[in-house]
Amino acid sequence: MSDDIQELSNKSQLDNDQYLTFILSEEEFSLPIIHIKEIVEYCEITPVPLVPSFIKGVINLRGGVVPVIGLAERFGMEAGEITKRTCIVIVEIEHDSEVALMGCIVDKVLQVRDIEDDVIDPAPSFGSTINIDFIKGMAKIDEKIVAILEIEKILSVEEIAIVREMNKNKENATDDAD
Amino acid sequence: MELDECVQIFASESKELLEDMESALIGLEKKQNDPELINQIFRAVHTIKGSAGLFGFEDIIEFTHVVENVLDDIRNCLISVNTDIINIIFQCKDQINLYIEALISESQVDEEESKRLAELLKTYQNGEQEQNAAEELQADSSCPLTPFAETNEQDETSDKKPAEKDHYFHISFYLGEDSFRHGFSPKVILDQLRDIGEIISVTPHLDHFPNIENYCPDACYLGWFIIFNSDKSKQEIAEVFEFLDESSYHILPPETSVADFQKMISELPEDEYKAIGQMLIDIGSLTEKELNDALKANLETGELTGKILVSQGDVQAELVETALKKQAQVKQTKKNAISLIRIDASKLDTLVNLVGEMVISCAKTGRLIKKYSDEELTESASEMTETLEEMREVVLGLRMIQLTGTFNKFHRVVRDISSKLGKQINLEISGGETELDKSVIDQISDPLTHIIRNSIDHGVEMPEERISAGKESVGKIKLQAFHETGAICIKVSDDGRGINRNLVIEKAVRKGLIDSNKKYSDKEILNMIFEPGFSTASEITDISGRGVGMDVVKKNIESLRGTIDISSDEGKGTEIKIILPLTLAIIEGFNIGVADQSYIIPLDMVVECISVDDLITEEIHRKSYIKLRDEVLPLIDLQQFLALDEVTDTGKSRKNIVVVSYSGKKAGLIVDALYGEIQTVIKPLGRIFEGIAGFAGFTILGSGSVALIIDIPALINNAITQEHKYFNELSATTKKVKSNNEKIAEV
Repeated sequence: MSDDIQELSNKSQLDNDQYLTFILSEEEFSLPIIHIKEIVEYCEITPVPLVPSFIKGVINLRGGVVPVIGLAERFGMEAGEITKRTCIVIVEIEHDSEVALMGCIVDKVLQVRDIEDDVIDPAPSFGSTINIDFIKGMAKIDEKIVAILEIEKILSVEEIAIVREMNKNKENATDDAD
Repeated sequence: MELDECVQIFASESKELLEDMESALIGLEKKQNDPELINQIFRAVHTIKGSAGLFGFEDIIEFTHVVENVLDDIRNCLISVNTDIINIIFQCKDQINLYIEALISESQVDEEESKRLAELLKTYQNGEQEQNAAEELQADSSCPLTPFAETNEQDETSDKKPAEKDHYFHISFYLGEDSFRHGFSPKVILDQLRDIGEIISVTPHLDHFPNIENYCPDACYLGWFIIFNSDKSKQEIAEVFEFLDESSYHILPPETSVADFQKMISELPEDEYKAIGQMLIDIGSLTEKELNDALKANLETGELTGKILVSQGDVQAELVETALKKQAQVKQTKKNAISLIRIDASKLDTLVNLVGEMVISCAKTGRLIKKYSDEELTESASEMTETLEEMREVVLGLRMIQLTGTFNKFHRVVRDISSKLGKQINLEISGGETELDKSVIDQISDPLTHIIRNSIDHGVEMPEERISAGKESVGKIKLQAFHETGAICIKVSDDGRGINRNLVIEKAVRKGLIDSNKKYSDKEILNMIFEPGFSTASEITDISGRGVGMDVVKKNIESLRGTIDISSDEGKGTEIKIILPLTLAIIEGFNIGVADQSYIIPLDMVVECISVDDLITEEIHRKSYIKLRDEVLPLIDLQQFLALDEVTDTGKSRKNIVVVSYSGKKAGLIVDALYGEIQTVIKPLGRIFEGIAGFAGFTILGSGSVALIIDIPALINNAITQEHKYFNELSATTKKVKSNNEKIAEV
């Protein structure tokens, strides 16, 4: 019985070891594939007014409305030009036992690869190109350092609350503009 | 997992039964001796007890058992119906409801309350039982000591007489031949019987004695026939004999209860086909063991089970007959009944969503087909659209349920609160058959409860006050529902004292909600009631008056895309009118364009569209309103409001004004383009966009792209808060214009 459980957790451990790597502003990042539902080609995004600029809008994903954020903008980086390789990575975010979908714009998707836990170092306390809160760890792959992103943080509830706050401020600003 | 589902079904069925029970109880208050209502209440409790038994919910069984006993006594006219006992049964109903809810939430129920209620009920029963005992003492002397071969005949005669209240069981049992050898004494059985009841008589059976040559002195050939008085059930008595392996015993329930049992059989639910034996067990006239024995005998001899049961002396022949009839009847009803299926609401939601998707993709296909202008293709597409339209209506209809259930709950609310306050109030309900989307119904119950509570507490006066005001002492609250132009209207009106405007203003000033120097229109004063933190009752009661009421009510109703309106005649009464959309899933939308993006405005809020000619454009630029047919129409420039970039390549720069109205307030929205009507499936904003004021949801257009649905009420409310500003600007601009004109004149 306990062996089974052991085996199961080993298995999920295995899944956890797989990461999708992608390019964002010429830099390589990765996400655990366990969070990724699918990858779709870049398509027309309907902008939503009165939200922070990193929320690019919404797309129609087979009849469902999925919000899309620009990961680069989220990290305060320059957004890459939209090319043929631009993709939207659809991730699943769990909150209050509800699973919400969210799209992240990335410049280019590279591959799915295994990254062993022992080559992942904790995030450096400084010196990284993006907010270290968003980084789960740094992985050494082929002599390169790839940041593994913490998707829950990037799209966390607190962040959403901040998003709301911002949008309120913005609303007030527009009110004043009237 | 499966068990969970069963428990869910049990819970929802029990809830329905409890609702029936409540309405029957309310009916019983008016017609205290209506046997049909008493039966209905009894059946509800009985069925819940039975189903709880299936799952082994001991606490529910225990509690319902006590309630059932009392109800049974009421049914048999042993306890008379009065307001007190109805009150207790009301409380019992609530307690059962708590048990059911506790099952779902896996929480605990306050057992103390159950005990208290059970005690209360028992006092009723005991009071009556003492009477019974007295009656039985009298009956004792004439107690028949007939062997039960004859009792069957007697039954037939006694059946025709009204049921007398003796509880005599006729028990016959034989110990096995080996019993004495095992050291078993029949005295044990008699002792045990004495513990649970009274042995009226014991007659030995000697017919098992063999011829003298076969006689074995240490074998037990004895059998006994006992007339036994007990209020225990047959099953409980049978437990005394349960451990005798070789003995055969038969317990014939009290003879006069045949009629009761027959009644019980006829009252068994008709939606379930049951074997006769099962029916008899259900009503308690047969034990499982007896049935099993009879079934065994059936296998061996091939004789009918019913006949075996009768010949074994387990049940009376009439009972088997009644059960047979019932069985046939159930078969019949089964055939006739409209078959109902319980469906998980989420499955329905999925279906509604899917149909919504189909509507979208169908619109898309239609658009593509237009390109090819192929006649056959167009025709086939239009056929498809039509079928889909039909399908959509059917599917949406699936979610529609009647308001009756929700409305009927208010009988209880009115009853409880008015009696607590010492008021006399009649609740009149009409239009309960009006159907509404299930999700709307689920959410309308709380606001309505609040409004009705307010009417009872603040609206309707005390009887003396009413009489001195020249009204009937009994107040009236009307709850109505009806269709009104594509929407549902629910009205709650009372004939109470109405709303005192001065009190409202005084209160609002004190709470700092309004400016005391300003003049307010009647409507504005009434609407102050919906302000957060407003409450006119000078005394806070536990019924209403906490000041967290009407604003929440208003919010809830607006979240259903509904509106609430209040009107009141001081001294005559108050009326609150709620208008709700028929469904939440699909709306008729009006597609507009602002800065190259499509937006949807709910069509029912669009009044008219005006194209802005150059002259008006001039006007718009200067101020945020226009004069439309002698009415001032405040304007909202959507492009500004949504902080969108101005479109640069405007071939035709002509803008349009869409006039929208919401609860009597009008506003003009300045938009770039009008695309026309469109059916839209509303998709929720989702967590990320929840906080954005001004949008009600998303929808997917025929082109496959997403469009935002504009939340007109939020938009207009925004405009109203700015109204003040508008008028300030208005006076400023007119002055400016005047001075400009004067200047021009001077030049």
